[in-house]
Amino acid sequence: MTWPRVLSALENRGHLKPTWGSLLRIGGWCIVGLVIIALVVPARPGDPARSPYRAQLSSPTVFEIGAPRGDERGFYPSPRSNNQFQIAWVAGSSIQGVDPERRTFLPAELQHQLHTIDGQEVTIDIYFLSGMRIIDELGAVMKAIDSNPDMLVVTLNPLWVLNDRAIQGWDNLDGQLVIGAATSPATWPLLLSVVSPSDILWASAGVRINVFEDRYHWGVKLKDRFGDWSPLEIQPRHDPSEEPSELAQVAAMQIPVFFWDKYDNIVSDDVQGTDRQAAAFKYAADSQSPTARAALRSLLDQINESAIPTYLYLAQYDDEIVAQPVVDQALDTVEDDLAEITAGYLSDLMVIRSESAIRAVGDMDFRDAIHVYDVAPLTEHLYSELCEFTRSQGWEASCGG
Amino acid sequence: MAAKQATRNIPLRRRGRLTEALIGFALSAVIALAALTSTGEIPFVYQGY
Repeated sequence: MTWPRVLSALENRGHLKPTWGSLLRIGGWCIVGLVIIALVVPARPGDPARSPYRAQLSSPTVFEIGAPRGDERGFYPSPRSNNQFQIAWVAGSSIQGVDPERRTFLPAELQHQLHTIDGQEVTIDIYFLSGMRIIDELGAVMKAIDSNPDMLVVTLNPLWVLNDRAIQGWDNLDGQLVIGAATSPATWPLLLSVVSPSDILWASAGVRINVFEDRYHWGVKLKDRFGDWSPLEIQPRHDPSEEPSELAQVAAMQIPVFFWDKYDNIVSDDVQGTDRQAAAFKYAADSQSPTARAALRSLLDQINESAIPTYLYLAQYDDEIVAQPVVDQALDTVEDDLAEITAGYLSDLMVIRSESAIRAVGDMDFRDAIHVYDVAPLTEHLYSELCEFTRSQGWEASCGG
Repeated sequence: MAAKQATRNIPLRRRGRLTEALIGFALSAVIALAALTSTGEIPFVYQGY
């Protein structure tokens, strides 16, 4: 009842003629209004210096640049300087040292040894998200390529790289996927599986209008005061003392693996400890996910097209779990599949280690299947690997001998 | 007669155009406010029942 009255008032008092032409003009003024607002509202790019992991980074030239969940910018690349050699390192939590007394990041430890390449100081932007899945890695690689680093390092997690239950963990990267795929039609079929029309609209608007790009920054500040007004903010409508409906519980699941864990649990709850991790890994190896494979191929295509020298490796997995024949065989399967998929991409510019780092490093002290307490053995291994890689690229580096 | 009518219609048409501009600006303000007051996060719902 209200809207016909409003329209009638606009026609009678405002002399608006509801035609297609007037609709177009309203759209035009709306865009003009948005441009004016974009000019008035100051840009607020993310600041890598405010990373919650800052204290765990032992090198002042290494930055953790992952954005909080919900921030569609995804990452906050640090500013570039002409006399620095910038490495973009895409990885999940497998690069963390989780000793409670001394939490560390592998790239920061490595930078102490590999501090100069090609006569320049090495800086590293870590495109880090905890629980990074293969589509998240694709989004991160796209963003990293966009910042035009001198070199790229990509760490793949053996549990997630080809796992069909967990292809994506950070859907705030959807906008980055849209932007990165704009010039790569080959990735469109894959992206249609994960991005929504709203992702495309937000990303397209955010490219030019900072009100949209930086909306997380403003949203965090203004949400408490105006959140109830926003038609875009979905608030849970239930009494906190009551159990939410099943649908509300599903809607609140932040990553797909929570859904599968509840509704199609692949390992029964009475299997615990390393047996549980072994069973989950065996499932991952057997899953043969076509989506994960397509995402991995897209990731490799993006790197290939960028012509940025890249070192890509498969992260470690607990050697005690791998000692179980069933897990050893599962890891073999993942490594063989990875080798098969990546075979066509090997070049002078791209080195790919499809064998897990644990095969080269051997015994390490793990907290769980992936996370090591001390990254020192991995640091030594990657120092040696990256030194060899820099030599192959013709760069002088701080590699001793 | 037709010319006279057309002349009389000009201010009304201008008012119509002004209304269109006002609606357009109001829409942009609503969209910007919606964008600036939302974080895109999935709200946390306690699952431990």
